[in-house]
Amino acid sequence: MKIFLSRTLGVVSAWWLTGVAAAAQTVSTVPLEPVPPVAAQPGEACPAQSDCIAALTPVVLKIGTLLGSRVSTSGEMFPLTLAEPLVVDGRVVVPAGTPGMGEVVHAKKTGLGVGGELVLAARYLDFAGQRIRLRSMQVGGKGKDNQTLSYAVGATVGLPALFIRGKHIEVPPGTLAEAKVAARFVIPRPAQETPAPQAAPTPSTSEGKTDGP
Amino acid sequence: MALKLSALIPLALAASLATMPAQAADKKDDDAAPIALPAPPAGKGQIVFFRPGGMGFAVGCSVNENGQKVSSLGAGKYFIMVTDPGKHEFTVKSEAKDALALEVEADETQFAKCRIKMGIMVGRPDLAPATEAEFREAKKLKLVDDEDMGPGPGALRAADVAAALAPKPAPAPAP
Repeated sequence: MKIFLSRTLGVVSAWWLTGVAAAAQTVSTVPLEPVPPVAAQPGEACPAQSDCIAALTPVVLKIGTLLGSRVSTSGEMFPLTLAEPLVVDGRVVVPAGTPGMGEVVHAKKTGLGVGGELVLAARYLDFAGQRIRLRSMQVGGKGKDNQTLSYAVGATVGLPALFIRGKHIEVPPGTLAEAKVAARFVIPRPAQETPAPQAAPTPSTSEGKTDGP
Repeated sequence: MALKLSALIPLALAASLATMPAQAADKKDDDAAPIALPAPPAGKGQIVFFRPGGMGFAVGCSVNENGQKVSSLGAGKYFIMVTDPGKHEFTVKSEAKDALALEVEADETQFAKCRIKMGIMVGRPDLAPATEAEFREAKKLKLVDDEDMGPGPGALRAADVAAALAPKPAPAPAP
């Protein structure tokens, strides 16, 4: 009986040890992947005296408030700003600091052994009375799980497993995120930037003079 | 002493059993070709739902949207759901219900995983956002069988996946 017990204990401890190691290796946050620059779409000529921001142009955004699986709720809107200006042909067309809004698509607090969840989406930038629609935001993900540890403690000890929870995910204000412009956006150039038409030369007084008959 | 030895032997055995097959499996998996995922059709987005093997393999994880079954998701299985861009909410249900909302983007692939978390009486399915790296880490995943998929459109059948992955014929040269 003693031998049976000690064998069982040995197998359970080995399983618990491997479980803890596996839990420690679980990392699950969405990485920021570099967004390749997008060339202007062929066949889409930009109107005269305008600047065009092509669809899928990458933008860098700054989150304006604390977001997290513990503090955010699904459906909540949050402020963000453009962190790097949008430049077309060397000219800043949308300055850094332009305000916008994003949405918490999904937020869930931690559970028994499972990490918190947070899915965010960038919605738009407010610029010159219009909205530049955004998409494909890269931030957020899933908090670290302690699921294997929870199972192991549940199997060996019992009730204390109910107190093992996963980790929350938190996005502090000022966090940078990447997104893309959802559709082509046309910005009319300000009037002072448009070159003035060539003025007709005014005749000089001397030229206007005519000799008497 | 005899008791100590008898305790150590199974411990060592268990440890070796836990590591040796893993090493062998790693070697096999390294040789296996990675799962090919087709790109979504133009203007559509897709979500790859997967469920790594492990605890709670006997508990079901059936993915639903708007009360309609998209597909069952057994341990070690995956399926691809093609859908319109926008916000989508999925649910899984057994002892308790769990929901996950995702923002589907046109021409992009997203990932979601189902895990069975510990419950008081029985395991509870948990649907969570995931990354492609997590999908690739989950070894030996197989496509859900056609008969386990929902009646409605959405989850790609094996034939749909094969067709989407088939090389497209080159356009005929202009005369």
